[in-house]
Amino acid sequence: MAFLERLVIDLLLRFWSVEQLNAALSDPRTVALIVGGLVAVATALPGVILLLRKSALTADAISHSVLFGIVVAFLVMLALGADPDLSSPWLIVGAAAAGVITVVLTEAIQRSGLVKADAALGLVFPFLFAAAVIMVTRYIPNVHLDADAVMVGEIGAAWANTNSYCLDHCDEVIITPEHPKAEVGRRCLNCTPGGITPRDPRAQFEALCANCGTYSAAEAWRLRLIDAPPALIFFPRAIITVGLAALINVLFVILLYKELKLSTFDPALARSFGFRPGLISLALMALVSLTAVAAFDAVGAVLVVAFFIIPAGTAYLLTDRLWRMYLIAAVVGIVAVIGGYDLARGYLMGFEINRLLEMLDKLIGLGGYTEWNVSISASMVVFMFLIFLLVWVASPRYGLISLMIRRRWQQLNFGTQLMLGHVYNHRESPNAPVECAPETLHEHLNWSQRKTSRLMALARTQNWLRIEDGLITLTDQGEARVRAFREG
Amino acid sequence: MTPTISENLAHAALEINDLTVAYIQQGSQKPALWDVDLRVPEGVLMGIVGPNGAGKSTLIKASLELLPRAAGDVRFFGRSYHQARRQVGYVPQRGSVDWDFPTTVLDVVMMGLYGRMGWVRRPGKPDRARAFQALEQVGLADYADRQISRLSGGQQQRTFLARALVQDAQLYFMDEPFAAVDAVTERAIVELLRQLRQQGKTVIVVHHDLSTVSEYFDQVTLLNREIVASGPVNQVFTDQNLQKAYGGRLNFNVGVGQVGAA
Amino acid sequence: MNLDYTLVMVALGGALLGALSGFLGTFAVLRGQSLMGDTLSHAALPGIAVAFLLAGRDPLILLLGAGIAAWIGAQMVRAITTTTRIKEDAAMGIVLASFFALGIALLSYIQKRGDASQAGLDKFIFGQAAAMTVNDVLLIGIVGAAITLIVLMFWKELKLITFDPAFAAANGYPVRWLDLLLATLIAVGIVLGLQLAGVILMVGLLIAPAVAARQWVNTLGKMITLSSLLGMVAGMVGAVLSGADRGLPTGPLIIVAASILVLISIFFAPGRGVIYGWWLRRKQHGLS
Repeated sequence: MAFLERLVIDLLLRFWSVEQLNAALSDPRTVALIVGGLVAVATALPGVILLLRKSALTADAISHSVLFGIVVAFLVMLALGADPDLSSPWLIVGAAAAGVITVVLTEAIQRSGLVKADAALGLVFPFLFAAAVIMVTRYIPNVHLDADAVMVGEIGAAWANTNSYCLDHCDEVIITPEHPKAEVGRRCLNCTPGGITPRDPRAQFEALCANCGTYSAAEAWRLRLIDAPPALIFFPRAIITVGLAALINVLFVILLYKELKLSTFDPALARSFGFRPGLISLALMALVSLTAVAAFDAVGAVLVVAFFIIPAGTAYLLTDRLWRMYLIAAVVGIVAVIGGYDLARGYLMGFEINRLLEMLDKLIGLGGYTEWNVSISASMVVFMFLIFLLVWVASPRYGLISLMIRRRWQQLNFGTQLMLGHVYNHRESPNAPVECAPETLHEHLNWSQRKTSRLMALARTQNWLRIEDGLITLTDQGEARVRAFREG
Repeated sequence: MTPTISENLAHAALEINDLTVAYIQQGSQKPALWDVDLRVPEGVLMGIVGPNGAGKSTLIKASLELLPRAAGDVRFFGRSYHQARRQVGYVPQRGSVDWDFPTTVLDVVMMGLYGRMGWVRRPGKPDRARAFQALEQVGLADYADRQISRLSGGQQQRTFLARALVQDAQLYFMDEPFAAVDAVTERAIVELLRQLRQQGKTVIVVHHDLSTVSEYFDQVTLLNREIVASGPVNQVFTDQNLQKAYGGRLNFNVGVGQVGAA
Repeated sequence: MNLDYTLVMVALGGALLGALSGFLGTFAVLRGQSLMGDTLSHAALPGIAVAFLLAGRDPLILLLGAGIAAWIGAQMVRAITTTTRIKEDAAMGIVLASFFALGIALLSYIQKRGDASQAGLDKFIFGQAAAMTVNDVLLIGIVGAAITLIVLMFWKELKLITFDPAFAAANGYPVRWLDLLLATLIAVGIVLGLQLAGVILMVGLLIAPAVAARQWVNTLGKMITLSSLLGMVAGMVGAVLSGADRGLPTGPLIIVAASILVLISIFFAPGRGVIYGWWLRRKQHGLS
């Protein structure tokens, strides 16, 4: 991990100075947005596949069981005397493995037939989550893992948990008596009170260095032993953890693009091509677990579900192409992270929520508390949901508005088709005078008179039918339309 | 294809007029049944056959008002379904329920009596006796107290038939009762159908196996979203009509050729 | 004396709510609505927060808010699945996570106002039986009795629509209304149970007793009785343990207790359990 962080820092330093970087990386908002954005990308991509595989709730399941894995790994590291750290690769891999194992176990219970599939899901994960919460409250004396963090994470504090890296003037400073900064003095070896004084010619001296020794660069700067401060970068740990998860996920969906596509839409065909959909499925579970663990510190075990599913669901309402879904889901996630951060701090797209609260306070009384300052990760999810609602209403292809317009058109179309078809079926039967009379048509179709006459008028203006000798007859266009509809 | 009114002045057991049923697929309406006219006289065994997706089950469900109708009307003995409900029995597809439900065979059969029992009232001793009698009729008397998850597929089907029997209806709808059952059950169902006909009841059966149609049924309806043909088996069950109902797929089916020749 | 009184209330409340959850959970499990229960309980959270902001800490008002929010959540799942191509599992995931997040955001606003823990809203997340008062227990008792009475009155109708809704509809029962009745009863049970088990874990209390009971018995009547009993045991054990040790939240304790019951049932139930299955296979193997 340290190696990777160093690599990233070196890359960033090609564009910015140390001061600029430190300023940016100690800004809570910037760090929260970077971490959140990376979480959004890391979760949205596997989320799309989960959604298309109709296993969206697997994300829910995994995030709960992963908490169990994290807590157990935490306790194991405590027992071994190691300092548990949520960004330690051992802890991440161990916890992710626990996630995968529990998902596989749940599937085994479902296959046993003793418990229905949905109930099995609803049994195993609450149990693991409950056990994890008990362990957290009972055995983990650590501020980094309390019940609140379990639910919502601490993305707002991500900037404070850093590793420091030294870039320049980093060497240890060794002060020897010859060093120009050495504070060298003398000590009298045989002076005695009342006898030999330091001025006495008999006095014997030894050279003494007051500040000789080895100093770290930071200490040396503090004591002014060196002229220039060491160039330190404080790098938030979460960035590499979630960044790595994002990178792995991006590589996964790019490298296995066609394998994922085929094994999702047609597992049987994928198997015949030798793609081993079982293996791909397992890899997906492993990846979702890994991502959930990596994101845990930032957004918690419960809210991470939203990051997996909501952007994917939104993208699903906007496009039919897989690669576009990946792209849109990632963008929706990132936008929600940015919008959500500001929402938590009281701004909804430029609007000040405090104003609304002041108004509400006057109207219904909020006890005078009009400062909106709430959970950041929860606000990101709320913003995500707002985007989803907007797209659900207004998506050009699958939105409610276009659905309503299409339905209205469909109803007219289907109704006239039905009427034309009825006349077509009965035009040569002996019952035609009864079945095809304009006055009684509504009785045969069991429609209201109003609907029947409206649709008849529509069909006449389109020149699909006409009324001859008190009988409805189809025009050539009308007959062609019926035939075209039936063949299609 | 529509029988003329003068042909039979008495009310038919089932009379479907201009029935259209639509299903909604991604927000757009598609017809599952298209302007169907069908008349089933009293006292016949009628098979409904047609290719997959022809709307056979839909026809039954729309008749029983389990699905909304886009247009048309269905009459039972000249009355609406609401008025004639007590005279109509229904055997759904076996796969439509959860057979791990915690209940016994006798209890399932008694459900057939709920319809006439009315709200809140509980089944009593005479009801149990009636249900037990129906189980004897289908050869499951020994299984009355068995948990339904322990039944074979054929036994499940016979349980459903017994439930329909206690309804004591005049007209029965059966949705694929012969699907994936053992030979014993198949014979039992056929025997039951004949008994019902002897009692003057009408039975409408959705059926898959073309090779047994002329053996089991008096009348047949060939359906493929529209009625292709309907009437006595010997008149309707012809190669030509089958070709119309099944299209090109018929050529692959050896059994049908034999039926057509018979 | 004082301690005894509290502990008795806690035990009584836990037992009543556990029994009620086991009772209603039987239907939720048999109808395949376990995960809908999960969605409803998560969706209730913002309702609790809004009710508190509008009307203060009256427990009845809080429950009403929870009920309304859960109902909106359920309608939204239905609306998403009927108007878009998003499937039910994803729709439940979207609603569950969004409503929960909204609830958390509102709770953190209330918390910063400085009176969330005084108001006892925290208990709705992981459950807290220790806060149970005699009024709460009375409310649970009355509502629980009413629910039980309604279910017993419409026993055969509810059984029929659960086992075979198409047959029920063909027999003229208003299946949609009965569905709605049963769903409402389950939702009321969930909302009542939230203060004991919390929104995250309520689903476990709803379905674990029913799943455990199903392994032992073979009729609906016996299943619902046993499920209520098991729920009562789990509810009481969890409530008393957390009542004795304030540091531990009630919900997780109850769920662990209920899960142990499920584990025992799945392994040891005669004629059905895992061990019986092994024994049966060995016997068949020996015979062949």
